[in-house]
Amino acid sequence: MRLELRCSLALLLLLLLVAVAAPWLAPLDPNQQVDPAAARLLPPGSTRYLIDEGARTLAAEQLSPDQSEYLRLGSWRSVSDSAPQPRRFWLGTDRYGRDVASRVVYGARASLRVAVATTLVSLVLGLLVGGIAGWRGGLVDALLMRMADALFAFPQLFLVLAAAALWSTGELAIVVILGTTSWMETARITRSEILRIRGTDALDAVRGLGLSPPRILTHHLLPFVLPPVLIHTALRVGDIILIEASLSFLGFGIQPPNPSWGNLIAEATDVLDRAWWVAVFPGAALTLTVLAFGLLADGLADRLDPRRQG
Amino acid sequence: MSPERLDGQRGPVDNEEALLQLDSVSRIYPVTRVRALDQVSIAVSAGECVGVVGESGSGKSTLARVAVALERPDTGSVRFDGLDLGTLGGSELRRLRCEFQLLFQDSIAALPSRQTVGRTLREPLLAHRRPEASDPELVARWLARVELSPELEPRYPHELSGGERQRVALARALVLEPRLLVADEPVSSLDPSVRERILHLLVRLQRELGLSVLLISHDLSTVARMASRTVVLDQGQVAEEGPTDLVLRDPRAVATRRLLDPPTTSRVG
Ligand SMILES: Nc1ncnc2c1ncn2[C@@H]1O[C@H](COP(=O)(O)OP(=O)(O)OP(=O)(O)O)[C@@H](O)[C@H]1O
Ligand SMILES: [Mg+2]
Repeated sequence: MRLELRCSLALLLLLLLVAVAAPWLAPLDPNQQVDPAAARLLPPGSTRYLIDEGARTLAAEQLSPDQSEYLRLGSWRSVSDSAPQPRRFWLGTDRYGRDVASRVVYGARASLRVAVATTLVSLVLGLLVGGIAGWRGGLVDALLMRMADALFAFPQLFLVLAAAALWSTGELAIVVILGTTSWMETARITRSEILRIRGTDALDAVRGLGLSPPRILTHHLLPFVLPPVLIHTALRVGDIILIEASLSFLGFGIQPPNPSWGNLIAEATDVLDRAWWVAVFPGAALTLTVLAFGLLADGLADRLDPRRQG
Repeated sequence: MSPERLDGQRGPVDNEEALLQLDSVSRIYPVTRVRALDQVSIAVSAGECVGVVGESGSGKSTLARVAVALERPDTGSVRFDGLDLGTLGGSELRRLRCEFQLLFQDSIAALPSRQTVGRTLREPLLAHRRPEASDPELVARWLARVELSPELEPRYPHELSGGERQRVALARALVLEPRLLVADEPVSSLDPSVRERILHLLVRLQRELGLSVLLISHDLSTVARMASRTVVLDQGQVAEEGPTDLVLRDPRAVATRRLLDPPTTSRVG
């Protein structure tokens, strides 16, 4: 197997594991606010002593050697009942005193779920529409492709916002809205590949061998259609995560305080000048994911096309 | 223009025993309105090799495609073993396709570029759920039959020479053990030494497998190697037909003479 394919599969597997194992991996509940007065925008690697005080979790900067007193906001107080727990915030905290590491780990769930579901919806729609248009030709082709052109003429964010405003918000809505507005390019690629192959001797040859249409589709058309479609799709995953982020930012997407990488980055923009880590870590996770999908597409294309093996 | 000679030993029309029978077949391409075939009648009996010759553009490939039902004639009928191919339903026709195969003019275009030789040869058997499909020796056996080394099994078409490719295409056309092979210029893209060996192979396989062959070429000498009877096509029409030696020895149609002596003639009839 090619290096690219191996790296990307390893990365994506890791991401999947992180998303699935979020409850065990995340040090804290992603929505838990450690009192912002003392744990607001802590840089990565800071340690605080967490004290449970009823409904709130307080953070102390220091403990006295006998652990009976703690320093908080410049003054010493005595520890009442619960023993303070030292906690290191590996990736820092945000402006509400929430643990960035926990939020990034949990954000992987929402972002990947939305991205994968949306991608599947648009992939299936694109393959179907493009396949039917390319194979049937004529009026069907003209109608379907004009429809795709019309949808394509609008900026996707505009379509999505219009649909979200008219319909509903939340994860399912995002998947449906994004999925149904991002299949056009896939359809176009599928159609042109099928048109290219349809008239060739290679296809006539398998027709002449008496292969059934389903077998021709799966064994002699899809192997040509899938590589370019997969490259395109994998590159689109990043866009989809970003659009989901914009939507979440505008209040139509994944609703705060629940984290997605998108709304984490969106929330971080206000404090970017003081606290780079709030944006950089979800940004890095996003970049890594996009990269992994890109590598996956490239690796797959290499593998599916013998002329590129060497 | 009517055929100038219909006095061959075996009359081509109204022969009830013919395996393949084209009756007054015309094919007019849409858009361009080119009349690629015009009232063509040809019959191929079981075990017989019939040659078709004609200049470039005379309709030979169209004839080949119509004969194996890759294209429908606009008028006239194509019968295989007494069955009118135009009246068959999709799955009936697919099953019958095992009985007649086309060897394409351009083997690099006709072989699946993303399948290995082994996979390509197995594919027709897999698709028709033939038990031989799982025979591990199958590919090696067919490669040997077309005089190729079994080492070619894992190769892709672009990793083969032109001659090897044509042999693989031939093997694929024969794995379903058809009764009729339509060979569209099987050797014209190859250099003369390879050409000779592939023709030799064709002759041998025809004899071994008891194949009927419709051998198409622009070159009379190629056809003369195999065909007992020859049909000369000119602008989509049958210009002449008869026993091959007679056509060669005593050509009647202008088109035949042009083919026999190409350099001195003009292209326009
Ligand atoms: N798909 C098509 N659409 C329109 N016209 C076509 C098509 N295919 C072939 N023709 C025309 O039909 C005529 C016969 O073509 P055909 O390919 O059968 O000739 P040919 O005898 O096989 O030629 P060659 O020896 O060059 O292969 C030509 O004039 C060609 O331009
Ligand atoms: Mg031709």
